[in-house]
Amino acid sequence: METKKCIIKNDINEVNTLVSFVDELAEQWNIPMKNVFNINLALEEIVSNTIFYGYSDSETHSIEIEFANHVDYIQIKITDDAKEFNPLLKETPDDIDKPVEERKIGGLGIHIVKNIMFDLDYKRDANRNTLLMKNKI
Amino acid sequence: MEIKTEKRDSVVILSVSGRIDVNISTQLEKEVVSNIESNNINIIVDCTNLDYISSSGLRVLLLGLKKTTALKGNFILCNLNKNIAEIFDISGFTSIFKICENVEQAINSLG
Repeated sequence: METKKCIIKNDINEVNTLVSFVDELAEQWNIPMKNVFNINLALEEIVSNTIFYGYSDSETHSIEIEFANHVDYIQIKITDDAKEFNPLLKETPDDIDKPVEERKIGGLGIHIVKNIMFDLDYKRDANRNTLLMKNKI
Repeated sequence: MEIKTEKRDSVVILSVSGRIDVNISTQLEKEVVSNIESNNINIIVDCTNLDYISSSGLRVLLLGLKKTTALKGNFILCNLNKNIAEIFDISGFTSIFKICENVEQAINSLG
């Protein structure tokens, strides 16, 4: 099983770095387009959340994203030193099936991640968040 | 992302191409909001060349739908690719948006 790691800074423009990294990985590992779409989407939702809400100082922090190529899935491990946040505890929005007037703007990111990835697992250890998720090929 | 705006009678067609992600979604928001503020309340978003959208883009679409609905206008989407249509399903957008196969169908649906 092969793994590759991408380390980005807590700067929202780094989402583009991540997209380029995943594009290269897709070519090397022959990842289908549909999976590339969903992997990029899940990464953007999780990483942008961390960058926007995870840090209370103005220092530069690193976010580590490790990809592992398994037979029928790609595993992604995201590790950061942001404040403790378990996205799996975030409740499903309660207005998804409501008419437009009752829909709230926003709050969909983590809901989408939970639906396109599987076996999500969160750990807080030594002041670091680690989120594991898998995308089925 | 690129946005082309075309006005046909009382309808504005926004053709979006490329990626709508967290770094670019405010551009789309500006375009949508400025149209609505100029009283263009019948908007069709043509997604033929749209490859990718994240929740930051979905947020803008919902904002457009809410604002135009409140003004008795329309906010119609067309030509969604399969990946994007799936994210729409997951987000519960399929039931609140009018989604057409193409621009002509969207215009005709406005009667």
